[in-house]
Amino acid sequence: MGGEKKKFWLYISPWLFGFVVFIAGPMVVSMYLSFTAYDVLTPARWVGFDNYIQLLNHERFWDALGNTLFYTFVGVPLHVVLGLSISILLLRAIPGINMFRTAFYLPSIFGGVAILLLWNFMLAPGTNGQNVGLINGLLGMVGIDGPGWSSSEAWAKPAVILVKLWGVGGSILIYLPALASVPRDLLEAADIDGASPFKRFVSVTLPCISPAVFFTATMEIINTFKMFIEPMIIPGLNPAWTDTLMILLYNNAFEYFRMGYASAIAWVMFIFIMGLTLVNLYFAKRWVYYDSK
Amino acid sequence: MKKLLSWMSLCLLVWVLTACMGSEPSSQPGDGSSDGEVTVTFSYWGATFDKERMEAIRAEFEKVNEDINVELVNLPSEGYSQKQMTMMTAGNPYDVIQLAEQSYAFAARGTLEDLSPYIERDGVDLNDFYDVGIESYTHEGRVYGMPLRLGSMMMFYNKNLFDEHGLDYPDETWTWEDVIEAGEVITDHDEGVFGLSALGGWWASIAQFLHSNGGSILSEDRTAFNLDSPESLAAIELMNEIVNERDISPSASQIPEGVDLWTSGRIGMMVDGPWHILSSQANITDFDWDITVAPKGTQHASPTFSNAFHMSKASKNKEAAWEVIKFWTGPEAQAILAEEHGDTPSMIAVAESDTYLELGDNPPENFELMLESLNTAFAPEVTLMWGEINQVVQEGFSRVIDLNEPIEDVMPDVKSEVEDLLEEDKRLQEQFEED
Repeated sequence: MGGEKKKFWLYISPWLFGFVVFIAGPMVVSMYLSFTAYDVLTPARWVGFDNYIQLLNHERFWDALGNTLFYTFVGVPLHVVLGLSISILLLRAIPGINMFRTAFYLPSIFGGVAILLLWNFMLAPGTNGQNVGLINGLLGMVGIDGPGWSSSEAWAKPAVILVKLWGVGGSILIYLPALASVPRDLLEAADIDGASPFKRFVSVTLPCISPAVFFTATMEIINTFKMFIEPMIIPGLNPAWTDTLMILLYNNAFEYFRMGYASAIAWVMFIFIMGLTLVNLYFAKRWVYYDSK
Repeated sequence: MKKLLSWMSLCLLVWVLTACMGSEPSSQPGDGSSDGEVTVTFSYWGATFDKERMEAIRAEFEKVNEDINVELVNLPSEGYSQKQMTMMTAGNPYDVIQLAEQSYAFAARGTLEDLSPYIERDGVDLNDFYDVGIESYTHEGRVYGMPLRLGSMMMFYNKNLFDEHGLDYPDETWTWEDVIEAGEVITDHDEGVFGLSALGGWWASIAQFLHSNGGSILSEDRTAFNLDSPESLAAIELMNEIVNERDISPSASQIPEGVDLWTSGRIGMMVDGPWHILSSQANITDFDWDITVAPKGTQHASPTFSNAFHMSKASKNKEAAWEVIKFWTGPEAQAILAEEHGDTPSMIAVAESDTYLELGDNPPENFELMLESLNTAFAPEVTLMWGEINQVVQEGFSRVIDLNEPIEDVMPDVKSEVEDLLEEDKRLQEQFEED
């Protein structure tokens, strides 16, 4: 047994080393820094809870928090439902299915600034009917007068969510195998009992794939909370409409020489994400079904 | 066998890890080789024109300084300050650093070398340079950076559009009233043509408009908020009138994505920086254009762009770094810059020489007005909180101009935020003076 133990530590040591040096260490340091005024270039000065008090009195923080929560509570359910719907469609064994699967999955790999700049063009409202972007052009064809997206308070946040949904295909990777492993006999039994397709989905498929849904939802909540690049590249005309906590953090840490304050923001984010995840886990007991039990 | 394999793979892992950690980057500042040669690292930002210029100056420099190697490091302007901060924190800064508005922030934090003693020792005459160029890099009476080039806001105009409507070309006497009058005639919304380029959106545009109408963001000594003074308010009102009531200048949502209104001939007058000269020469083929000084309200005012070369306090080759800075802002370097006929050389004699002013047959005809506009040049209103104040003011202007919110709704928000930042600024100043 001693040999086993030794081997365990031996094999896990590279990862452990990386974790301690590159993740846990910086976390502890940022915890300390969040109680200091630190501009990176001069020594940190201890200021106690000043950063946190300042944060709570800072209107920009509340705006950013509100936006972040909006993205989380509106964006994540959309992401989950849409991902699941696409996956169900891609489950069928029709000719050329692999091509379709590839087509839906690819956008999630092609991400980043270049794609977002493309979205900027697509979302352009145009002026006097000139230089209208693809999205409003399509809406115009069916007689809808498209919004100004980034330039309207009501649509700036939905525009960011829309762009984020571009990567929805990434969850196909998780849903497809889960859907494929739903026991046939259960589905057939339900069929014989006269359950409608919808009823079958709700009573049989959904419980069977609930771990996958739970996993993607949790990961997506965490990712959305840390959303940075989308609102950075496609901000609202008034940034207060779209800025996330991450943008606030970035600006303070790297533009305004306020690393201590930014560390405080990071810890507030951590508390929120942790809290949401715990709530998630608590409710998961009621609806996530694991085979092993 | 298995055991051996696992041990071998572990050894391999350990070796890779140590290799990653122990490898020294080849470009260590100050790794002078043993035969008396030193290498000076020199970081700057810029695109093709800048790279070519820097290489040309380096070629000249290395002819006369055989024992100093200059290693030019072109960094992306996105994240430039962060990169500098990181290198400084790691105790490994670049020897020479190009900085613009961030000069003060870095100097106040004790990361830059005071160049005054070197300037004095070598008898460099600062009177040879434009005041505004030196001023921007003088903090607490000490010079921290030497500029090679500067330029101030100009007004570009599309001659064809003026001819079309039988209007006189703008000149140095033009006021904002004249601009509005001509702009009204030129603007044609069906064609997507605007009389005047977009206003606001960045510090220089805001500053030019405010200062030319007698307003400013901060008080003279940069300690109080001045955006709600009668002059500043009148300026904001006028800007709002031009953009929203008369609609002769595009608001943010009227600027098409991916179309350059100026080079495609849809702007009558453009108030912007002098870098447009080189790009206009390169990109405009189907209309004639020229330049004049930026319009005046109650006075002429042209915010000035520049950047300067600074020395790291932690540099290990200060003498060599100083030689580099001295050469890079000296006559040979200035001559190389002058031949581009773009940004203005910071040395008055070079700027006034034919090397700079003779363009041959190239536009703009009124090129010598570049020097005229330097007479009313002023440096950006830099404080330790420059980045944040800038951001707040820009957003405030955007709310008024682009979103058409009433000034009286926006101003209190801007005021309270800027005043908080000024307090922070004061606190920092005191703290840095103690250090």
